[in-house]
Amino acid sequence: MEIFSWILTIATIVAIYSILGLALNIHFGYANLPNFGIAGFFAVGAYASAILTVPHRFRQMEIFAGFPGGIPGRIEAPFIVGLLAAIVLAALIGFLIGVPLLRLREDYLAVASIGIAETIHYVALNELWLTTGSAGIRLIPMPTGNRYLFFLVVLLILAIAYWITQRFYHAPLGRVWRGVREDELITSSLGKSVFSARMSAWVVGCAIMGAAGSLWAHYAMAIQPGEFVPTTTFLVWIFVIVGGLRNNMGILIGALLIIGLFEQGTRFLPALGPPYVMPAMRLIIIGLLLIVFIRFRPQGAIPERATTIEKHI
Amino acid sequence: MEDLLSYGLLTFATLALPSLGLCLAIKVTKYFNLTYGDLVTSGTFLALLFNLSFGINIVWALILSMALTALLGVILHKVIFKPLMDIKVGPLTLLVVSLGAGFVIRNLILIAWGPQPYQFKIPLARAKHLGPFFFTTNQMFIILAVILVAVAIFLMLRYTQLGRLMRATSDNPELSEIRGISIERVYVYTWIIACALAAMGGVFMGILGTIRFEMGIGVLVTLFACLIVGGIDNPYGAVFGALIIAFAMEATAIWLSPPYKVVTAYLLMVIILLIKPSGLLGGEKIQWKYFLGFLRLRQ
Repeated sequence: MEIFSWILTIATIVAIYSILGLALNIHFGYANLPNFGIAGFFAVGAYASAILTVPHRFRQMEIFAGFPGGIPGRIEAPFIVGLLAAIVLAALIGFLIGVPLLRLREDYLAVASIGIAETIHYVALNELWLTTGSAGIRLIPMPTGNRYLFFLVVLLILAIAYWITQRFYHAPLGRVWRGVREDELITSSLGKSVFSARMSAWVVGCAIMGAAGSLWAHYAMAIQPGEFVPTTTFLVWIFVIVGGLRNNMGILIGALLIIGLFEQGTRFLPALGPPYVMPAMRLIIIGLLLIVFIRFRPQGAIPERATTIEKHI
Repeated sequence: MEDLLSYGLLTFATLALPSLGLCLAIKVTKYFNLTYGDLVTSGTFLALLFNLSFGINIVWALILSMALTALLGVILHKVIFKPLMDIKVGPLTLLVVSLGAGFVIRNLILIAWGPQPYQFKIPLARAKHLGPFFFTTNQMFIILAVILVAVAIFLMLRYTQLGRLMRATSDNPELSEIRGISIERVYVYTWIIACALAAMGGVFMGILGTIRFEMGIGVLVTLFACLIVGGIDNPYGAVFGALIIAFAMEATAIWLSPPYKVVTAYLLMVIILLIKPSGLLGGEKIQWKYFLGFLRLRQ
């Protein structure tokens, strides 16, 4: 049973990362918005859900002693409220950030979005009344009580995210997104607003990232700001690029290979030296993999399917 | 107020040179290199290696580290970025690759040195009053060095052959190539200068504070804030932006809350991107229509 529980852990993590990957596919694959702030929206979702649902018991824990006026533990909302709040809040914050940033050229947007994630990280670290700072939030309830059922919940939300992403590929709005990606001038000359198209893609992606954050908080049952660092963003980018940008099945396979087999699957290997060595070695290999893939197979393992004209007539 | 002046000037001294180096690198090679933050870190740790492990004087450690960081930068360019630039990928692809390269460097540093903070072994210096300021001799030396190096770089850009080549390549790569400039060589020289400046800035940061393997990402966000506030295509703007960002950050630390220093730098960057995307020293006029654009989202 040991091995079964281990596989379940990996499968849940892979499923949550896959949701992030699908969201990045909407941002970067469909609408050409390079979002390097994934960790930020992931954190918004996780914290929104955690703060709303954490039970009152958390306030009696020693780590909470310093902040009697704090919010966590006052609301005790059910999981579904936390999930919806995570989605809405991530979308709202994405919208507010998008108003200034989506006017920028892609490379400026990439740099600016790193700053977004850093800002959110600093807020989570320093606004003690809201997030209890570096101590993090613990005792977050797992809604179904056991991990097997919760895995089904994660799978259900992954399926919904997959369906949404896949549906947007052919939907009129998704076609506008891809049109903006290929050529802004032509799309705007056809009467489509480039800014609105970008904004809608951005908000939809951010909302999905928020949902993934909520699932993460309820699965891990404890979160702290140190989890939402650029490394998280980088892992999502790498499996999206390796698996196949713009192809949703490729992204799932990429997540399985990179996160499942490599990032999580090598944890049973004997540790070399201090505890930080193995994760660092993994990241080095993953980084080299990214460079090699972009050099020799930029379209990813499974590329975007070429669309024929007949399909649209 | 004296606090703000002293701390602001010191922060400016740590930011000015890397900001100038990153500006030159972006101006000449035409893509955003996110490895730069980790090149600053590696310059610092190389100096730490010479200073702590071999017991070399900090000045020599700095010079050795500048040379080695320059070498590292050139190797990165030749091995990773040059082959990609040859097959004409876009600036965004180069940006993603540079992020990957940065992760490799950061984690190599983590494996070699571990996650704990370090400090240079330097002789303690007594603080002296200098007009309204209150500096140690080390700090005065750093501020002086930064001003001298920055002036030297500006003179180099304006009056030497290499400076002319760099400006020509930046203005029009195709035309420069037709006129017989070896662009590749200009890239290499640019990286040497940029990485030497990165190492210098990193060592100054290390002397004035602590050294951690993760410092690169915070430095990178701050440096981009400096560049965008000052004007991304303008070396004078890079230094001017560093001045503004440094004082804004220290003002936040003194009057609001120290952890939000980087956030202030970042907010300033967003405001400048909104009203004057070419930066304060950039060419175009302030665009208030973007501010009004907050109200009507459909363009």
